[in-house]
Amino acid sequence: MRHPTLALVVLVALAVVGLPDGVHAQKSFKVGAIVPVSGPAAAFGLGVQRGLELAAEDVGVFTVAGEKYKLEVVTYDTVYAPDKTVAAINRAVYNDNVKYGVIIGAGVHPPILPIIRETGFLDFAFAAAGRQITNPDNPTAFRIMASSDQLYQTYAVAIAEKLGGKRIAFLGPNDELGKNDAKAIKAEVEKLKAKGVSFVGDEYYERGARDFGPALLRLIAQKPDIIDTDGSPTGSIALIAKQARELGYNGYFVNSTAVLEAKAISDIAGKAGENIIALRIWANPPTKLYTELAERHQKKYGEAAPGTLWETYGAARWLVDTIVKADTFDTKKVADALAGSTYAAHPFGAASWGGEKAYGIKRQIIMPIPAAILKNGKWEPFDVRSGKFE
Amino acid sequence: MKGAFEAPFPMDVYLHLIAQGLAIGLLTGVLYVLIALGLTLIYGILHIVNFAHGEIYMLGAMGVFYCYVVFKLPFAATLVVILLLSLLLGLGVERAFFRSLRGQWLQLVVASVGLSLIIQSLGWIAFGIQEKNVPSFFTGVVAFGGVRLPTERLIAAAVGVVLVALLYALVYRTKVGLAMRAIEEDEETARMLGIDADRVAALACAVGFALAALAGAFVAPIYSLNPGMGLEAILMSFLIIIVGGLGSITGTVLAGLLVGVLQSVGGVLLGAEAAYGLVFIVMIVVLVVRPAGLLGKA
Repeated sequence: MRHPTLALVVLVALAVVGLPDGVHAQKSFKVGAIVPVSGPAAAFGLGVQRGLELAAEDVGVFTVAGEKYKLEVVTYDTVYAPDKTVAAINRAVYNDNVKYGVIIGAGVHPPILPIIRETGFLDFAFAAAGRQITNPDNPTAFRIMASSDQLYQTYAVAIAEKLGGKRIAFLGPNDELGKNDAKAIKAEVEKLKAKGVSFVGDEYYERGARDFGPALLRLIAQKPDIIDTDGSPTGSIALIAKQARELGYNGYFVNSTAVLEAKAISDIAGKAGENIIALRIWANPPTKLYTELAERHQKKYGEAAPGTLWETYGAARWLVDTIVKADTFDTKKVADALAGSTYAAHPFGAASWGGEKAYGIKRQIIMPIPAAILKNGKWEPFDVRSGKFE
Repeated sequence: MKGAFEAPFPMDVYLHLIAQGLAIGLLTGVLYVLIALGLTLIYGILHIVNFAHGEIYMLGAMGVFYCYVVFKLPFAATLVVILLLSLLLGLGVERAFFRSLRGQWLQLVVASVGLSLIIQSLGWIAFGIQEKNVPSFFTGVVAFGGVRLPTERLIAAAVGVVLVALLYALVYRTKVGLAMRAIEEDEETARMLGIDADRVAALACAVGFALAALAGAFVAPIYSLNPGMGLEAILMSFLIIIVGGLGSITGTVLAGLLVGVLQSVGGVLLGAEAAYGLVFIVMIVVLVVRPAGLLGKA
C-alpha cells in the first residue's frame, strides 16, 4: 500500500507545482488594498477590499501585451496608522511587486508619498483633504473620492445660505483630515463674511472616541446654527448628534466626506439624528450599477455595502480599462492615459479627472456629488445647487 | 491660542459649563469604573494583567445587540444570558490559559494579548464591519437647574454603583471574598490554610469576566458597537487601575471618577486635546507622589 500512496502524492505534487507556466490560464495583476482592516477604521478598509473583489469578479480575464491576466486583490492592513502604512507599501512594492493600489487616509499619506514618487506606484488615494496629496509632484497619485476642497467649494456656501445659518462650527477628527477640513471650511465661511456668516469654533477628537460631551459643550456655548462634522464616520456622527441634542443643541449637522448609513444613525441617535445633511450620499440610487452592486454585496457579505465600496469599484474597473487600452503595466504611462480618459460606467455616473486649477494637475476625480438630509430615519434628496470645481 | 474659547463668555456661562462638565464627568467616570472593576479584581487575585478584558467588554455589548435587538429577548433575560456566558467564559479561560501560566508574568501577558487579538479578529469576522446599535432603554434628559443629564447615563451610573456595592459585599463580606483576599496577600500561606486557590482564582476570573461583560451590556445603548471597541476601554481601564492602585477596588472607584471628571471639566475649559494631556499629567503626578497608586499597597 505504501508505494501506490507515495506515487499518488508525487503525482499530485507534480500536478500542482510542476506544470509549465503556459498551462495556467492567466497571470495575476496584483492590486493592493493598503487599508485598515482592523481597528476603528476597519469599515473603511473592508469596503475598499470588497470593492476590489467585486471589480475583480466583473473584470474577469483581460489581455495586455498578448498575455492574459486576472485581477488579484492583495490586502495589507495599515490599521490607519502612518508607520504601518509605510511598512505595508514597502512590503507591497518591494516584496510582492505590487505597482497599483488603493490607499486609505489623508493622515497616512505624507510619509508614503516619497515612496510613491520614487517607485511610480499608482496610488488610488481614498483620502479627503486636498493639495497635500494631489499636486504636480505626485503624478501617479489619483484621488478617487471627492476632496474636502472640492466638497466645500461646491457646497458649503450654498448649504449655509439655504439653511440661513449664520454661525458655523466644526467638530472633526484630530488628524490631517480634520485639520485640513477645518481650514477649508474657514476659508469658505470667510467668503460669506459680508453676509454676516461667521466661523465660531473648531474642536477635535481622537478617532475611536465615543464621548464628545466636553467638545460639544464648548461649541454649543458659541451658539452655532450649523456644526460641520466632516471626516467623521457614521458611528461618530450618530453619537455626536445624540450627545449634542442631549446637551440642548437644535441646529443642523453637515458632513461632507464620509458616507453615512441612515439606519445606523437612526438606531444610535433616534430622533437626534434628524437634520444631518450629508454630501456623497445618494437618497436614490444614481445608476443601475449602483443598485446591482448594493444587492450583490448584501448577498455575498450579508450586510449593507460600506461607503468606500462604490468609488473603489469604479476606480478599479476604470484602471483595468485604461491598462488594456494602453497595453502596458508601466504605471507612468498608465497614469498619463488615465488622466486623459473619462469613464461612463462609474457607479455614481460619468466620471473624469479634474483639479488642474486647484491642484495644478488633473488627478482629482470629478463625478456627480449628491446631497441628502436625514428625515424620519431615511435620506431624502437635499435640494441645493452645487458650484463647479476645477 | 487654540484650546481657549474663541470668544470670552460671561462668568455665569463658565460656571454653567463647569457644572455641566462636572456632571457628565462623574457619569462617565462611573462607566469607567464599571469597565475597570473586573480588571482590577483579576489582577488583585490572580496577578494577571488581562489584556483580553476589553474584548470581554465588547462581547458583553455585542451580546446585548444579538440577544435584545436581533433575537428580541427581554432585557432581563438578555442580562442573564450574558452573565452566564461570561461566567463560563471566565472559568474556561482561567482553566485553559491562566492556571497553567500562573506566576509566569511574561507568558501571561503574551497569552492574554494573544487572546485579545484572537477574540477581536474573530469579532470582525463574526459581527461584521458595520457599527451595531442598541436602542436606548431609557430616553430623555433629566435637568437639574440647567445641568442636563441623559437618563440612560444616569441609569447606567446607578447600575455601576450597585455593581460596585455587590463587589464590595462579595470581597469583604463573604467567605469566598475572604479567601480571595487571603490569596491576594499570600497564596502559599492561603493554600497551607486549606484554601483551594485554584477554585478561588477561577471564581475571581469568572466574576471579572462577568463584570466586564455587564459593563459592555449597560454601555451598549449609550455608544455604538464594533469589535474594536474594547481597545479604548482597556487603555482607559489600565490607566485607572494603575492610578487607583493595582488590585484596589476603592482605588479603582476613585481613579475612575477622577479620570472622568478631569477629562470632562478639563475638556470644557481647555479643549479635548489639552484635557487628554491634563489627565496624563495628573496621573504622572499621582504616581510620582504615590508610586503604588492612590490606594495601592507599596
